[in-house]
Amino acid sequence: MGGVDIIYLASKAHTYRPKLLKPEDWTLLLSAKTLQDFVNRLYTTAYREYLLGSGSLSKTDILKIIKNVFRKRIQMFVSQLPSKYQSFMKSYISRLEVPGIIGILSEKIANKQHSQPQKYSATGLDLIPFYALIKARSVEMAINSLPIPIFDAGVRLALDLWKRYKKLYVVELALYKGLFSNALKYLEEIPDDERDVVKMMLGIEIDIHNLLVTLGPMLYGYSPELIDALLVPYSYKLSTSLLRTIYSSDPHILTRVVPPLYRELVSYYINKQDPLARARLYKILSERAIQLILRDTIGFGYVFAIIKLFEIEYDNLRTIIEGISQGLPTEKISQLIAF
Amino acid sequence: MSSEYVLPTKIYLMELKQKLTTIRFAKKILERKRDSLREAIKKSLSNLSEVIKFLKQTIHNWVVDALLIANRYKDSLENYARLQKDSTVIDVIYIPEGGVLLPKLRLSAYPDIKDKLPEGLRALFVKFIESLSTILKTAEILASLELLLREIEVTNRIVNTLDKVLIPDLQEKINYISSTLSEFMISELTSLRVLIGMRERGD
Repeated sequence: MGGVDIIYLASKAHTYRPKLLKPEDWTLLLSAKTLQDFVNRLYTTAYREYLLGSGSLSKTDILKIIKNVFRKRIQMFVSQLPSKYQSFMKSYISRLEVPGIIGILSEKIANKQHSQPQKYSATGLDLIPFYALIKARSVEMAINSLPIPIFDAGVRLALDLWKRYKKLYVVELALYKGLFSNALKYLEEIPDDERDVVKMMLGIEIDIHNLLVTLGPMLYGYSPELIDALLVPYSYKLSTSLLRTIYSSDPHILTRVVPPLYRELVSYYINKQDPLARARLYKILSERAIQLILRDTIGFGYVFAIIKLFEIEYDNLRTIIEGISQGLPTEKISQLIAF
Repeated sequence: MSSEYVLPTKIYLMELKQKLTTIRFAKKILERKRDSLREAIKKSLSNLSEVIKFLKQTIHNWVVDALLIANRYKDSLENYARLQKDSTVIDVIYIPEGGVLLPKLRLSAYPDIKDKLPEGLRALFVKFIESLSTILKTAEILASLELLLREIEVTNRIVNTLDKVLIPDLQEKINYISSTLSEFMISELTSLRVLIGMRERGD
């Protein structure tokens, strides 16, 4: 689909900003005790138009509605981006499709029946040929059917590592590496000022990917050679050369060598409180997205930040719904969300 | 006295006295065993209360962590769970304590997660394995307590049988034989005196 002017899209993104849930909305939603209570509270937000006439809703129905809202928003922005931005965005947003890909591969390994292709897609953007993945006769063939323009060298790397280790974890990280590396490559095609703004957020995500790769050998006895294979060769605030050298040291050394921005997050990972670390990452990204909104009000940075905020909002809503249905106390759910 | 026929002879008396000494010795040993079983139970109960205090917190934390991980990493959990085929192996070793063989549970093998599990799941797995040693300790103490209680009940029954049935019975038999033998002796002495009197009188 042909792209429109980025200023037009940025203006459109401005109209979407008021639709994002505000801190007071999150406080209201977090105090819901039941799913019905949650839906009633969601009626008071911008989600009202999507809930109207839906009557009594089950957990699956609510999840479906918020997923559709997220998909609609993402599709609207990504499909209208000018091509140089679109290539970057497609690689970047495909991170959300990795769990679906891994799901198909794990079903293949376990000889389980596959579901319908659309069930695996998080964005509904047709970026990944899920049908081809399902039809592939082996894991190798499935990995080979992944699109090169999206994953680039990640496909070859995933295939090599699968042949060597026969472990899904390495395939998953290889795909993330491919996506991040490809996103960085496409980022070179966009203007310098916008590139720097995007790197303020993308850089953090790459740093955390690299950190997670290093924590494998550091905390869980994973193969150290995976560090070389899976680190994304890019350092925003966390040096990859530093990570390569400290993997055999005491993990607590990490809290001293990482920049203050990541210190709390790293200490969560070291204490094996991964969900809290992930929530901290989303909080950092959410704060960074708000900074970007203020910094680049008419460029791609604004659109990128709004898309990121959609993603975080979707993740938060999903976390609250799951938390309520699990019977988790409010304070535990609030630890998992970013706003 | 029991209806059993009692032969009032010196040899039988000596046999019974020997039997009584043996039974009293056995009773003393069993009483000692009962005391040591009581000590073992006390020790197990004090261990159990400490472990339960610790475990309550550990299991609570583990369940909360598991729920948080199930919430945050739901997709990963489904994707990787279906690939897990290895199982956890627990060895049972029996060690004598308080005269009873008590089980000791040892975690001898668990699934290898090396290069296998992603963020979230690997932390959950490691925490579970760490908590498992405490869970096994509790299972071990509970099993030991059951065995010790069973053993103490059996020992008590034997001590009671010795104390209330066998020892009084033997004592009664000994008393009976002793009195009968005394009667015989008096009767013999009387006969002897009569015979001596007759001899002296020249009858």
